[in-house]
Amino acid sequence: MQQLSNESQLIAKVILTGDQLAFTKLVQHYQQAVRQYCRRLCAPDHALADDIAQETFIQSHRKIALYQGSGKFQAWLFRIAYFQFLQYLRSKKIADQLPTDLESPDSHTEAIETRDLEKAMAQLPANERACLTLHYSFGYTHAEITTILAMPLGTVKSHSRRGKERLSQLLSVSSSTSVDQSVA
Amino acid sequence: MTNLEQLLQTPLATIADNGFSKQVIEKIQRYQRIRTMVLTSLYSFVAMMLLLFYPVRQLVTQFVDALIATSQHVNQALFSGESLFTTQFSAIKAILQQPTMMPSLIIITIFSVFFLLHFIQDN
Repeated sequence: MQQLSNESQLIAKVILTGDQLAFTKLVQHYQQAVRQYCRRLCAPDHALADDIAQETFIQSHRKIALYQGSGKFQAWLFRIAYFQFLQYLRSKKIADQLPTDLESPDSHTEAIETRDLEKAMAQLPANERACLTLHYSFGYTHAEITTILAMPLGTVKSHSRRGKERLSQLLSVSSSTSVDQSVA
Repeated sequence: MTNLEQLLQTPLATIADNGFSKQVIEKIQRYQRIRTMVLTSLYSFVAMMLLLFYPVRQLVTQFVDALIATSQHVNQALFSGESLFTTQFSAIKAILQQPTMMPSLIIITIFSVFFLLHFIQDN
């Protein structure tokens, strides 16, 4: 996702004058990335993902004065989103036990591989899902992920490695199941 | 790069806004309206309590008297040849000795705490 050209000006406007229009532009620009990230975290519950994304933007508006401008604004939003998600898990006391049998509404239009990947992703623990999504889908380095998820570098790397291992196991199982189903 | 890594790097499905941004802004505006209403009510309540239970008129009269007395005191000190430090010190002492000073300082402190809490909550 490309950074907005006048992003720092917009952020400064929101902090200094509470400019709603400037914040609207930021929301419009980042809504897709934040929602994509939340959908991965909450997979396959898209409604929950949108609720968390919405809460992320509301929290970011309240705490925007705390944004120091040292990192990417998107990374800061992802950090808020991740902690919103953890808060949701704690409040529901269902850590990493989100339903996995729901069908994605637009899954029929997606490629089979991608659909399988999303299904497999939904079965991973939240930490692993977050690390893999940030690294592969959004291109963050492991060092940057440590700041977003507030985890040590070693933990981030091990989550990524374990996540990949689990994914390959799940995908090999799912592909063999798909083959079995097509043969039957 | 493995097949899995290639698969993981496949771009995520695009998500149309479909009123999402509008909804977020509306929620923020609603929150701000409620917050302003609550804070205004709270400050009004404190101000009303102050007016009801505190002799405001007496306070203002005494404060004005204190200011006049202090200016007279400073005037006297300046013309009596005292050093600047002594003059300032006795002027401050004279102000603090006025009966209205302590309640005024307490009220100012209460309001400052209110505003400080307000500021902390905002950030």
